[in-house]
Amino acid sequence: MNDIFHNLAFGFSVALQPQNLLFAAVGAFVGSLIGVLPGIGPVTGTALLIPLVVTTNPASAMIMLTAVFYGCMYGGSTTSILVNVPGEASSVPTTFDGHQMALQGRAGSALAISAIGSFVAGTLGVVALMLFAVPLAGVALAFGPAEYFSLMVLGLSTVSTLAGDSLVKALLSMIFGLILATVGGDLITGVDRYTFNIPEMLDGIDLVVAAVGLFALSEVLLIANQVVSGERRFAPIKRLWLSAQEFLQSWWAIVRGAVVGLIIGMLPGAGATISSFFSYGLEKRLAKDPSTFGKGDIRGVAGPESANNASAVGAMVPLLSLGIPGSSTAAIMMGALMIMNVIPGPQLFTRHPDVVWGLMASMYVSNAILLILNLPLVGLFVQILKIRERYLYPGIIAICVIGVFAVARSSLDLTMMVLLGVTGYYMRRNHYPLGPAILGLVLGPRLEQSMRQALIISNGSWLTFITRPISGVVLALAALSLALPYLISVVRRKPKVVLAEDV
Amino acid sequence: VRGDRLAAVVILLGGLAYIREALSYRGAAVGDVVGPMLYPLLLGILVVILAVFLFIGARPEKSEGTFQNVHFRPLLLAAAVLAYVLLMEPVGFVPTTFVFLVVATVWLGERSWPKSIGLAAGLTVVLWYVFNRIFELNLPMGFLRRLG
Repeated sequence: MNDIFHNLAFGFSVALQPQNLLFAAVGAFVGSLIGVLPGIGPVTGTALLIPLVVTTNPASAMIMLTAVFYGCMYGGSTTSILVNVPGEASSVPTTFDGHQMALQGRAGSALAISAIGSFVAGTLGVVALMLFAVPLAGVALAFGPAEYFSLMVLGLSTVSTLAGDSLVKALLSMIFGLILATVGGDLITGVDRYTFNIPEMLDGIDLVVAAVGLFALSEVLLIANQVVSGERRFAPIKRLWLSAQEFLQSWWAIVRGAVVGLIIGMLPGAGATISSFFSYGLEKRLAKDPSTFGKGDIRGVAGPESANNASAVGAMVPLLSLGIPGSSTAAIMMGALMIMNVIPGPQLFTRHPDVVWGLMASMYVSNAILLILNLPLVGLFVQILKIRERYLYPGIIAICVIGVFAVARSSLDLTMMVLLGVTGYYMRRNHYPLGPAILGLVLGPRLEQSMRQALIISNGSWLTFITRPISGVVLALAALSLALPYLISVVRRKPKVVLAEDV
Repeated sequence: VRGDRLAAVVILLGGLAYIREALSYRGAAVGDVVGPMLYPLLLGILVVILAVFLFIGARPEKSEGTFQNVHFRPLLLAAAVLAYVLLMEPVGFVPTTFVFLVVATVWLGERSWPKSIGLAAGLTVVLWYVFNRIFELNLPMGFLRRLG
């Protein structure tokens, strides 16, 4: 226990350095601005800023990315409440009651409870992160390549089953990411694969290029038609704070949301979306009068918003201790670390303690900054939504191009970004979820490497993945996660069990 | 339904091409029991299997309108971005960004040319200043190099 306090004090000494404090504040502010843009959530927001943050040191970069991440989530809730446009899937439940509240002139209350809920959940989350990440990292030291391979398979399969409505399309998206990751020199033998004799392809496809193309550019292409046809309108805010009664009403929803978010967030691949939907369903089920939900019940905002934020912290547990990102955003942060030659995983705690503890402390600091920053800035964020989209989106494209140019500096990578943008556009139009693709791209090289190392150790026997106990159990869980949607759909067909309507 | 079926065929062919390429990778490293071929081969096989499932599972869907109504504007915007990124290095960041912003704002519905040109000019200057001066990214100068 003493160790934790000692380490945390060290973390705060990193996070509270003037430079890092500035990074956190700038990150939170920029993140909030980006998050408010319709359709741009944490994944796109952090992806956009990678090129800028990787020029600093790893600890500062992670501090800024975390702040951006939090800022984007908060900004996304703002648009969910004000204009009924969720920044990303995990903010969808917030629109159910949040936008209703805005229509009733209670936008101030909704925004305030979302900020408070996020702050409380984030605080509880950081405590849990400190308690669990170190023991888990200890366990992880005993993991061999077979265990890592199975864990990555579990992460990929859960993300795929939870994303989107078609499992086949989600798996295709995931394999698309894995295939993109095979481009470049083979790590073990050095054979060039899928480079087509183009020298620039030897390093593989840059994560930034893929993330910006698949997420940001595709989004702009997707809404091009809507931008031309009309603009969005929203109601004015009448009050900027919530009443004591509303606060008391939402308190337990916040605590429950935080617990739900943390637990679900720690599972590799489950992430924020499932936890915010789960929390909304839970609040509705626990309410004495469920019919108030969907009509502006503040608990319907407080629960999912807290869950959302807590799961963001939860996702850091497997990222830092196992090197396996628990969500798409965590995957992007892992990519940023890898660009800076910091490999997440158990060794991170000994090799880069400033990154680990600085990051944990800065999560707390970012939370506080966001709370201080955002409540007075609600008025400003509303102004951003007034920028005409036909000016906003061309500007976003220009920033994407600059971002890719900054890391890649080659027209081949820029061309690749455009091609991936069109691919992402096609995928979005046809309901292929994009999260699995980015997770596949990030995990791909390590997935193959650990598979081959495990097979080298076992002398080519595939049974090693099943006979090693931890690996076998994890693989069984992965198989279960793939089968589960089918089992649920079988159960759902019986009339009395109603799962879909609850959320 | 035709969309998903067509996509399934394209994905299937892509998967087969990927497998064909994978079969050409031979590793000679000592002790590497798997080699560079197996993993891409497995991925390719999964693609083929999933493509078959996609083809079988394709269900009729409501038509979203003609190609021209739905995809014309986004794809032309993508073409504009492509032209922008290809010309950026030879011509320079400032002129290409300015032209791209004018074209894109008009294409996204701005009817007033002076507004569009003014906004593009302002934004170009801001982006240039922020990313070149503050973040020191050394954006391509293009033909402006001779001037400054």
